[in-house]
Amino acid sequence: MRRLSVVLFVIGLALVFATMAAASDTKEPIKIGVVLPMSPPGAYASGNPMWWAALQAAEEINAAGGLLGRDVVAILGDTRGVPEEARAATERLITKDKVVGVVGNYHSSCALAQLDLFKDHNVPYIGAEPWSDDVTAKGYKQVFRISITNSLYTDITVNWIKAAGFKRVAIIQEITDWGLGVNKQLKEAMNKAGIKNETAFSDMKTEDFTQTLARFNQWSPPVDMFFGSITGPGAFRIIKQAYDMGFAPSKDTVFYATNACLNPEVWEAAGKAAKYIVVTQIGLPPTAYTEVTKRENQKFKEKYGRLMNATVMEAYDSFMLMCEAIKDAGSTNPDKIIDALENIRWTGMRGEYYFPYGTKNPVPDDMPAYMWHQWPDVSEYLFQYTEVGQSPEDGTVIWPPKWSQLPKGQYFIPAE
Amino acid sequence: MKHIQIRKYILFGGGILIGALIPLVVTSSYWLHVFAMAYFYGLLAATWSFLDGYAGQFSFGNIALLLIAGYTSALLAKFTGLPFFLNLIIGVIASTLIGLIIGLLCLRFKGAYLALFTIAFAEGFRIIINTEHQITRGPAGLHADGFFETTSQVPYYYLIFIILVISIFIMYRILKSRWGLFFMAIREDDEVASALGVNIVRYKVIAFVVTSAFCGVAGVFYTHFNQMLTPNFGEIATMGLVIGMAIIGGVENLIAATIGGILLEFGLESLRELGAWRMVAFGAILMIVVRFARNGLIAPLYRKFIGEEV
Amino acid sequence: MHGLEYLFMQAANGLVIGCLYALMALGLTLIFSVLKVINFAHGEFYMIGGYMSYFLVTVIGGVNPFVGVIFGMVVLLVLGSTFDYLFLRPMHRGDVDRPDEYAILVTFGLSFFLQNLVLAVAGPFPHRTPSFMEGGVRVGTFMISADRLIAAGLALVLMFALLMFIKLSWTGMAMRAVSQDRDAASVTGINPLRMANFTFALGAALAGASGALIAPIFSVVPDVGVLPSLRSFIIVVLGGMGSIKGAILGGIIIGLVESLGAAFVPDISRALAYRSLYGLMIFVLVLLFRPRGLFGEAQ
Repeated sequence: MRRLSVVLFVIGLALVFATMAAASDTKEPIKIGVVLPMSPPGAYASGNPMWWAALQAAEEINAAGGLLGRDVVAILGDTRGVPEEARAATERLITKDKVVGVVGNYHSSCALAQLDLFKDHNVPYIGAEPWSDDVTAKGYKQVFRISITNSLYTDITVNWIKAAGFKRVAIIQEITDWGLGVNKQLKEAMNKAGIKNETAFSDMKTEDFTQTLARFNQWSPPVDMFFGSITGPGAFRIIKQAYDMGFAPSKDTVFYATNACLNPEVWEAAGKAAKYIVVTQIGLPPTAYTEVTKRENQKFKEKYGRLMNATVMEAYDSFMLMCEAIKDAGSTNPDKIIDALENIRWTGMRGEYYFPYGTKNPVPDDMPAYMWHQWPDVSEYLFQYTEVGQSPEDGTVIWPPKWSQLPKGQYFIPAE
Repeated sequence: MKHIQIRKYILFGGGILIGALIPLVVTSSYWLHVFAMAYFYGLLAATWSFLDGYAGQFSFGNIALLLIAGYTSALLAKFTGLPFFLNLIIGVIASTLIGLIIGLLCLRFKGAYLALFTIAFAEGFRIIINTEHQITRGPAGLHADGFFETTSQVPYYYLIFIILVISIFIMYRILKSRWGLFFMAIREDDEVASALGVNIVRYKVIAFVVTSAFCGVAGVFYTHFNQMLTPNFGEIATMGLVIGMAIIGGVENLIAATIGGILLEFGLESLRELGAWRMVAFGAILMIVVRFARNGLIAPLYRKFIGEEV
Repeated sequence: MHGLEYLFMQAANGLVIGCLYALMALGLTLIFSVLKVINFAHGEFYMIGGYMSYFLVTVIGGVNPFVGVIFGMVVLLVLGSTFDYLFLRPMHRGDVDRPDEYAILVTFGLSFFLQNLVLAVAGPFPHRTPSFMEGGVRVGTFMISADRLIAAGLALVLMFALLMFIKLSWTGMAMRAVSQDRDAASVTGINPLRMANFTFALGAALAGASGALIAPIFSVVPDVGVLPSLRSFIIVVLGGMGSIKGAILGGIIIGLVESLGAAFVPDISRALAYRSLYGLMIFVLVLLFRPRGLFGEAQ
């Protein structure tokens, strides 16, 4: 036993020192860090396809000759959705892997925990999906964002709720960082608009929502819109449980679901219960797809067996955008990259990217602070599934009116 | 005896010297961060060894006590204007007090009942922190100021290193004293110990209080080092990690447990690319050590070098 | 639907789920009664039951979900027996100084190992086995799905079968003998090591059955067993460690408490999130004021 201990001890030490030695090696390829939740308790169901999209982008660039004559490599930092881990992962990417830029994030709390590192180490960052206003509102030179912000999302969503005439809204809200932020702003906006709303919070591990659903089902007059704001394994469960109970989707009550329901697994888990759910996509509806959108989406589908949804496209675009900036800058110098980003105009999967407000054009007082380094043309649309097994692309777009496929004056499809 | 003393001086003195010099050699802030976390886990493993390895109290509550101190300190900073150091002290006092209460409640619990009660406490605490997110911000994370203005890891490295050395020193002296003997008597058979005149109530409570105090210290360090607290650190899996570290190091040997914590945290961090397989290996090693090498892996080496059991 | 009807349906829901809780807790209490071990890997046995059912029914395919449940139980019988033989035997033999602690550590290590093994191999994405049967029983605006009723029904059948087995079979008698007095039992020719092995495997299989039965209802992820594990401890302590009656009644009580708590606690923003806490509070109260539980032996 003693000998075994000694052997294990020596092996352990050797491993440690070997890794340390290996860590300080040459850096020929251009490394770009990608921070995403790849495992629980993070939203790994979203994070994993986002990572594949970043890989796809990297492959394409290398196939076309690389960046500045060098290969580009995407290096993953798993945040697990936990801010301390996100910070540690970013620290690793910056100091150990020596990345020239970082893209990604799904969770706002993770992005916020990393901001100081980007500032202190002067590393450019493009936010793919963190929604909290503060990410750009803080005005850090290094930080850019191509996703929607909480405020924009709330505005668009509440406008839909108002147009659809929903007066009684019930929410089951998962206690996660993005959820809490969105919930707070939604509540404020709905209160201001005089819409009755009630939120029941739930733990990520909750298996059974039926008691709370039954409580909401008691409302008289009935709930107009139910928001099952769950992204974990419960996302599909809650749809099935609500449907089986006759609560939502039903002819009285619309079921508003999270973007977890963009995944094809929703049909395996919830079946016909998911037939009329309303889902938000942050991006362009299929009718407005660019050439880039169609091409990349097709490629992704062939390789991974599923279409890209908006968050996945954001990951692709943010990675490509970082590479475009490096190309424009002609160097990996962070200040040059930041400069290039401020001046960039590039068409990706979700539209043409540019950042109107930056060091040369500060955010004026009458615009919200989060417009700093924020892509202003982020679009959001809502769609409803109308057949079991549908992909998000085939759903019916119901909002905003300029893209809606419904007749004028109709804002949702009531369930049977 | 003198032989042993010299060897101890070599080991501890050498360790302290190496620890003090490392930042001069290792300049990567990433690796300094890893060292700091390793010392942190070493401290946690030591607290668990203290409570279970010596006093025989199998508790799942260490991380919860750690979080109590951290959340107290961070919430005080958020809601009151009290000075930074006062917040830290109140945080440690909070966890020590809770530890005292738990110790008192657990007096009559034996074996698995103590483990179950402390699991209930830990899990209940985590649920409350999570659900009362309006105050604690739950998984969105509660911000805490760092100890130092700089983002350099060097001062943090020295801070936790000093904390570790002092804490281990204090725990070691306690265990070497009469109190240590009483703890071990309680561990072996508390009824017999009581019959022999050991005040088991007093010493069980003391064991809990001392452990909680050090968990609290670790907690305020962790909070102001990472500058963010989320309740998920309090999941049972984290506690399991700490217990595993203490066991694999050698739970009945304070120094071995500490070294076990440090090395294992290093190992886990170095093998990060392996993802979940690291934890599979960890679980397997834990089971194998408990089954075949009950004294742990580091403890026999320690005994061999020093020539004595701690 | 209001008032009494609402109360009745919430209670019915709690009862139905409680049967599944009871099945799993029964496995834990059996293990305790014969081996004197609190199995910290019980939740992972439940999880593996669910995964094995998913594997057979969905991945391999062409098999009825009921067969998936049986497959899950068989796998756990083998796993439980192997683990006991490799890791618990020295404890049964008396070779271990502090057996209580040893048992906790080694089963906890197993739990850590299994959870991460499944995560590493199967990934974190949730999976769901196909329903036993579509539809459900509808009363007013409330429906209890057929899946739940069938699962609860099967759980009751299994529990009944187990009770008959313990009462009437020779092995069952031997188990009871070992649980009452190990040394006396071995004097009469019963091999306590073999009984321990058998009981551990049986307890694991019950947890696995519970997991496989619930898989169509709640789906499986690698850490799906964490909550049920804690719940099983609560039930077993509430009912009395080693008491079969206690596990069954305790399971039903906890099922009701969780259901009615989430349904009736006035603060709707918290009622659901604190669901686990209701059981934990009962747990703490029992531990502090009546540690032997409802039917356990006085300590």
